[in-house]
Parts: sequence; C-alpha cells; structure tokens
Amino acid sequence: MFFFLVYITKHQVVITPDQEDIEHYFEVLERYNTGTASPEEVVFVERYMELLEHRAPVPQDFALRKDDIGKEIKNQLFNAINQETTRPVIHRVHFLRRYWLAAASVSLFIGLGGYIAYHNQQNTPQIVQQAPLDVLPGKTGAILTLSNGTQLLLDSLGNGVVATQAGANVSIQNGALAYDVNGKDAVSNTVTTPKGRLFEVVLSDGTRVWLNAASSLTYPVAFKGNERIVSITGEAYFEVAADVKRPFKVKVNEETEVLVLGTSFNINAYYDESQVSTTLVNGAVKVQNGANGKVLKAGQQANIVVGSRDVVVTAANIDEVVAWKNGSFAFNGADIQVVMRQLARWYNIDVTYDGIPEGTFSGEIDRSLTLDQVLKGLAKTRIHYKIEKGNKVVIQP
Amino acid sequence: MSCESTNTDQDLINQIAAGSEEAFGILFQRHWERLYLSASRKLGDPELAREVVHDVFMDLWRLRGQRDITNVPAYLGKALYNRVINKLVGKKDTYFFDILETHGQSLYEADQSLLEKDLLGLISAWIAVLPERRREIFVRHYFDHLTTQEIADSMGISQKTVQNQLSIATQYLRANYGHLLPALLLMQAFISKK
Repeated sequence: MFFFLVYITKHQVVITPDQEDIEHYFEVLERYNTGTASPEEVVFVERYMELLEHRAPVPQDFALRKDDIGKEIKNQLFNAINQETTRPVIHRVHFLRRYWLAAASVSLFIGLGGYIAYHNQQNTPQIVQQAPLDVLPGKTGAILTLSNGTQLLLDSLGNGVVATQAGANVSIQNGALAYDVNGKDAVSNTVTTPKGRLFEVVLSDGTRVWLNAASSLTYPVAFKGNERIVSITGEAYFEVAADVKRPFKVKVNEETEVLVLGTSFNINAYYDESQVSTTLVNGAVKVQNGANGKVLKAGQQANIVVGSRDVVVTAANIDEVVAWKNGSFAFNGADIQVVMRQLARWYNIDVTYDGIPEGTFSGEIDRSLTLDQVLKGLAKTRIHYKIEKGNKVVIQP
Repeated sequence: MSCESTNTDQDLINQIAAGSEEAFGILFQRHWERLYLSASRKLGDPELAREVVHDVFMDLWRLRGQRDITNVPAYLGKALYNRVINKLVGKKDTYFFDILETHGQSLYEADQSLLEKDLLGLISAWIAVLPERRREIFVRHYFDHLTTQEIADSMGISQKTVQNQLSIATQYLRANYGHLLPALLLMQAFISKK
C-alpha cells in the first residue's frame, strides 16, 4: 500500500474526474465557508488551500507594479466605505436632512425665486449627475516646523512629547499641540495645516488657536519681551489668554494686524478670498490696517478688502463665522464660488466651472460628511456637478 | 513620526472597531501584499487576487467591532481562504481535479519532495471526505490505471512483491475505509523518515 501511494504521486496517467465527485467537492468548499464542514472536511480544504500555493508563480512584474496595485485596491476600498457610510447611517442623514429642512425653511433660497429645497426633494426626481467617485472629509492633522527646519507630521499622534524646543516640551495633549512654560528662547515654530486638515495649538501662554484647513500659524516657543506676536495665513480662531502687561498681536500681512487684550476672535485671511475678515466673539480687539485702525465690539466683524486701506466694520453672524471650528460649514447668502472655496480647502479638491449656477446659498452642513454627500445636498438646490479622478470637481450649469 | 510603526495590529483592530479609517488604512498597508501574493498564487489570476484582497478588507471594515479578533494574521489568513473559496465556487474552478488527474504534475514548485508529501496528504484528506460509496470507486480508479509492472519498475522491486503489497493494501482499504486517513498519515510519516 505504501509503495502504491508513492507511485501514484508520480504517475502521469490522466484520470477523468466523476461529475458526482466534482459536485461533492464544491459542496465541501461551501460547507467550509458556512462553517458547517465536518472536521475531516476542514482538514481537506485547508490542505488544499496550502497546496494551492503551488498553483501559479507570482507575476514577474509584481515588484514594479505593486505600489500601483496597492493604491488601487486601497482607493476602491475607501470609495466603497464612503458609500457604505452613506447608507447604513440613515438616521444620521435623516437628522441632517431635518437640519437641512429647518435651515431650508428659514433661509435656503435660490436667488430671488425663493425656491425651497424641500419641494425639490419631495416632489421632483433628482437631476443629480451620478457620481461614482467621492472624496472623504478632512480631519485633524498638521505639520509642525521646528526652529531648525525639521518637519513633524502631527496626524493622529497619540498623547505625549513630540519634540523639545529651547527647553520647552512640545507635546500632543488631547489632539492639540501644546507648549509648556519652560522655553528659554523665543525661537520660532510653525504649524501648517494642508487642505483637508484642522488643528489646535496651545501656546506657552495658554492661548488656544484653532487652525482651519490650508492655514498656518507662526509663533515663538516662549513669549519674551512685552508683546506676544504671532502670524497667520488662512483662517484661525483664537482664544487669547488674558495678560494686560503683554498685549497679543496677530500679524496677517505687512499692513494688517490685530491687537488683542484677552479675547476670542476669528481671522479669515485666505489668499484666495477677496478680503481679510476679523470677527470678534468676545473681549476687545483692534484691527490695524496701515494707518487705519478700528476697535471691534463683540459680535462685530472688520473687513479689509485686499489692497484697500479701509477697515469696514459690520455686524457679524458669529455662528456662521466660527461654524468651521464646531464641525460644520455655514453659509448665509454665499455664492457658489464662496461655497466651493470652503469645500476645496476641506476636501482637498480642485474646482472648475463649466458654468456658474445663479443664486446664493444659505444653510449649514456637517463637515464630517463626504464630499458627495455635501454636493448631493447642494444638488437639491439645482447645482449640477461631477466628481472626477484626482479629487477634481466640475460644477456644471 | 507617523503611528505606523508604533501601533500593533491589535491596537489598529481596536481603533478600527471604533471607526478609525486611518487605522484601517494602516492595517491594509501592512498586510495587503502578503494576501495579494497568496491569492494570486492560489487562483493563478491577478485580477481575482485583487478582488479577493478587496473583499477581505471590506469584510474587516463592515464587521468592525462585531468580531473578537485576537490574532490578526490568523484572522486574515482564514478570511483569505473564505474569499478564495468563494472565487473557486463562483468560477466552478475544478483545478483540484487537474491535480488529481495529473498526480500533481500541474503544480508549480521547486521542491518536488515537499510537494509529494503535501499531495499525498491532500489525497488522503480527499478520500476521507468522500461519501463511502464514492470512496471505494475513487480509490479503485487510481488502482486501475496502474499495472503491477509499472509500479515494480518505478520502485525497483519485483512484480511479485508489488502484487503482494497491492493485495494487502486493497484488502486493507476495503476493510478499513473509515480508518484510511490515519493510515495514510502514518505512511506519510514513514516516507518522510526515509
């Protein structure tokens, strides 16, 4: 018997399988997958799986192509996950829809027509372009540039010390970057958020700064002298620690700076927006633009049109201005470009226009939604769009 | 500074259970290649291998938090088996019978002796799962294609010895189908010692 079996492993005669055996074989495989296989069947399937490793060699060009293959599978997965999260979280979308409705019933108008999204949603079929691609929302993360130029990626680091600068420990605490008071020199650090990232920094004086996407904050590790000076690009929300002896200054550009006494305020100074807006939540700030300066009261906004010497003060909608810090987008009579500039920063997308839809947008949108979910929401107000490969969005007439 | 090197698989699984897509991405990056290569070898089709890897990780995400995963490589290995089997069943893939028909000649492998051992184990496991009636037919099927002279030539022994051996073996198989698997495994151990 032993000889016989050794022999058959080397024997070359072709034996035709019986149909009954083939059917039995597939039944065994299926039982294995459903967990109803007998112990002997499990042994058989697992032995077969092991032997199958010798079925075919790995394609020769695998080493060259593996990065592409890995990326492609990963992209497919994340696209699928997006669609997954859209469907099962019906209650959440529902809540949002109600939120949308509430917003819609108050303020979601299209231009002068007063076309309320609600009706569109209920009565007419969607004219939304099918969008097979989607883009995930942004999240917390930033790049920290140390005084010697070293850059650290702060995305999803756990709590703990990440660097030491001029004697100060730089650590992550509850997702924020924090400096202790032991810094000896005023060496400069910079936190930069790329598109699609949001980050919080706690400076050595206890001042808290939230950076919106595509923004940066430059500050000394320790504040020396009788002024606290930081500079920003993009958008940031400040909660400045009170210190009467050392006023706090935020430099926006050569001309514009904000002088602070302990207070909370928001500065929007994106290079692609037409103006620098400083909005005071509470306390007192003075917005200085060249020779012109205006002191703001809580609830007021100072706007400086790029290139202008004027400082125009208006009443502000605080909720709208600081919505980003609280996890949403808020619009009040914004045109499509204003809306898309905000989306572009958060979803890291490039937006092009085949045509510019008329009308303005008002309402609030959760920033944790995927791009497609947000655009679908906007589509209810008759925006047509297409998401293309490489994070591109085309707005259609 | 990224967390890729510091998080264990178990950390990542816990984060995935809490809904972390980032952890999911890292776990994918860590394991996809091994799974892809294995699926590619098992199915002989890079496209199917791609689908298998996708499906394995999709399942991991969909069932996040619902399964108690204590050994990530073992979990992924089992998931890979399940997904490969799905493909085999779906495509009505009868490669297993090619192996039987050609006695393993269709297999690709440098180390032939190892392969023989694996093949012997597989055949004995297959015999053990066949329904009793089919079991005898299957075994006899193999017998019928071999003449005692062929066996004798290949083993360098006399035809008379082979006939005696076969006679004993046939009687043994007939009388002991139920015990076939352990018998074959014993033989396998004996062969590997030689």
